[in-house]
Formats: sequence, C-alpha cells, structure tokens
Amino acid sequence: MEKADLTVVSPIPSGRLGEEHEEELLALLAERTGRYTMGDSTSVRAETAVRLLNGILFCLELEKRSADASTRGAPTRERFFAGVREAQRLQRRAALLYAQAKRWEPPVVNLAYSETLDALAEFFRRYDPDFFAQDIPCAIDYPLCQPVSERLAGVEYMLDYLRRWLTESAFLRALDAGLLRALYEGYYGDYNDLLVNLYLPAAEAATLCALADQPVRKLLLSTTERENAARLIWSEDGIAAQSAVLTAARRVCEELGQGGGFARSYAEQAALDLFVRLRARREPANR
Amino acid sequence: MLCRKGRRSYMEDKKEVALAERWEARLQAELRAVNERSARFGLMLNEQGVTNVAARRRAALAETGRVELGGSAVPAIIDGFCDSPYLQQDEYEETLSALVEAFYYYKNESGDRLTDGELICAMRERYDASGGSVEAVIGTTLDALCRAAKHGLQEEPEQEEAAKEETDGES
Repeated sequence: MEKADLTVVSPIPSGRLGEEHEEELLALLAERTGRYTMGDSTSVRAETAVRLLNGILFCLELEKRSADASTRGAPTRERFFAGVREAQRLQRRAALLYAQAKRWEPPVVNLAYSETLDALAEFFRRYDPDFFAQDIPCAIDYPLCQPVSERLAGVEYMLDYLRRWLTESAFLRALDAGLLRALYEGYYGDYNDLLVNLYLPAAEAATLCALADQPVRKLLLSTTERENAARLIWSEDGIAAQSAVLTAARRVCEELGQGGGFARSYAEQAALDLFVRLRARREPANR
Repeated sequence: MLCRKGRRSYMEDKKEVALAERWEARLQAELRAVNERSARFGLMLNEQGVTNVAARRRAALAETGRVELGGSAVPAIIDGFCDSPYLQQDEYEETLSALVEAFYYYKNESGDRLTDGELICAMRERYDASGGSVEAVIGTTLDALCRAAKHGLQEEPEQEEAAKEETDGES
C-alpha cells in the first residue's frame, strides 16, 4: 500500500493507545457506530465517528474515576457500559441540583440568569450518555464568578456548573434585594440586560464591608469606609494585606451562614481576585 | 477514515498503515465471498478486480470524509445490482467501482437520511431505467435519483429545456 495514497489514519487519538486495548476499542467503536445508525448504514461521516469515539473514551474515563471499582480491569466493552451507567447516575444527581436551582433563586436576577436557568432544562432533555456522553447539549450563557474548568465535559461540566450556581445563589439569598439592586446599578449600570455575574459585586462589597469593620449585609459603604478598606489592601505588607482579605472573606461567610467548605473557598477566591485587582490599582506613590 | 491533526511519529504511521491494511483485507475477503452470489448472474471479480474495487472504495471513503468500521456497503451494492440484466461481466469491475464512488457521495448528499438499502434501490432503479447507464446514475442529483425511484425515470429539467428549445427552433 503506497503511503502517498493513504489518507486513512487511526481513529484512536494520539496518546491513548497505551491506555486502552486497541482491538477492543475499535470493535466497540464499530459496534456503537452500528447501533447509532440502527444498522441502516455501514458508513458514517468521519466527524460522527470521532464524536462516537470521544463518547466512548469519556465513559471509560468516568468508569476509572467512579467509586464503583467492580469493573476495573474488565474488558473495554464492560468498562464502557459501566461508564455509561456512571454518566446516567451523575445526570440524575445533576437533575436534583437543577431542581434545587429552580426553587432557590436569588432575590434579584437578570435576564441572562433567568434565560440560562430555563435553557439548562434542555441539557436533561437532550443529554445522550449512550453515544455522546461528552456533549453539553444546551446553551450556557450566564457567566459564573469562577467558571467551570474547560477540562470538564458532559455531565461532569454540568454538575460543576450547577454546584457553583447554587453556591452563588445561596450567598445572594442571604442579602437584601433593595441593597443588591442599588449595588448592581452602581457596579454595572443596566445589570438586567447585560451578560454579567450577580455574585461578584456582592461578594466584593461584602468583603470590603468586613475589611471596613462594618456589617457585611450593609453592602454599600460610604466613601470614607471604602477608603479605609482600600488602605488595608494597599498596605506595604502584601502578605498581611492578603491575610486580612482572606480573614474578611471568612467573616463574610460566617455572617451570611455560608458554612460549607466549597462556599467558603469560593468566597475566598473572589476576595483574592479583588485583592489582586485593587493592589494593581495602587497609586504609584504608594509603591 | 478518520482524520487526526498534528505531527505523527513513524510508529504511529506504521500502526495506522497496518490498521488500514487489515480493514482492506477484510473487505477483500467479503468481496471474494460475495463472488459466490454474483457468479449465479455471470458476474465475478478476479483477484486484481477485488484489489482494485477495494482500493476505489478506500479512496471514495477518503474523498467523501466517511468511515466504515464494521462491514462494508460494497457487498450490498453488488447484491443490489448483480441481477440487473444490463450489468455485464466485461464492464463489471469498472461499473461496480463507479457505483461505489457514487454511493458514498450520495450518502453525504442525503445527510445520512437515506439508509444504505434505500439508496442502493434508488441507484438501481435509475440504472435499469436508463438501460444500464452508469452515467445516468452518477450524473444526476440526489433529488432526481429519489424521484426516479419513486415515479420512474423522468427527463432532467435541463434536458427538458434543451428538448423544448430544439422543438421551438424547428417550428
């Protein structure tokens, strides 16, 4: 066979041959392709085959990470179906989180928040762990304060997105609607129509309140109070300043009843981002 | 078959060639097996013909960006055409190769909405209705192919237009 004529390449992505038994994987891909076409077609577009293969590999990865170790070392086909069952289990868990998100909305929402919340329902209607477990078949427009890692895909992405969504909602539900509205108008202007995150200004404002030794629910500081807080961040001792910011974030979580480890680390990360941004805005004379 | 971007090592290339050769060998075995059925109609591929048809199929898949991971459609195409009164042994290999190329092209054109069986039937209808003309099968559109399968062979719109102009010119 002349190499110049060869336009065929292995369907197995580079670097995976050592992890999966190639023969079993190809046989499984052939089987899944046949199921996908319901036996009506012997051929598919290359892009379709790649998608199907990525779905298989995604499920094999899920199987590796699942708590159920009963299929470890089993043939590829058995591990794949265990991965599909794991994807289905995670999908059910995500559905519970979604139901929770629909019940517990923040006191103030914007268009992006509402529309994304509705759009997420499409994921549960269209998610297909049998063939394309790696897909996220819905539009996710609302930007989280701390986005989901791009390394995640499929139902794992959705789970993490919902977890962060709920963390942000729980934080905002502890605050007054009127104060939030005033905060957003000052921070964003027309917050309702913009594709903006609602948690970030609230987390920052609450942290600044804690730094200024004010009740965190107050949210809106006077100019003097704001300058006092900024002075702490701008102090020469960067390590001490950072420590003060983290302590303020923890106080915010305590006062707002956000006791969970994830909620606290989420708030701390928002506070650190604020610290880095404000430090970067320091007057040149202060350096 | 499937495309993969990026630089490949010599070993990866070697493995891929081995894989493709194995799949090709599998098709060649299928073609030898289907010879037993087509022989009843006086149609057989010799060894060179088997190799040639397998190579044309590989090229057609690559050109159309399609892959076959299980069996191939080629035996079904043979089964679908071998009892045609217009298919003769002396042109069997070339006709079959052209039909295979057309088949994968039309699969793409249909957006995979036609099953293999439906498409082969439509191609066979057109082939027989045109007196065994491969050009009639490959030189048409998918719509016309399916229309012909449903309603019988009809003149192409361009041919109708040309015929009409000729008639108008005479009068």
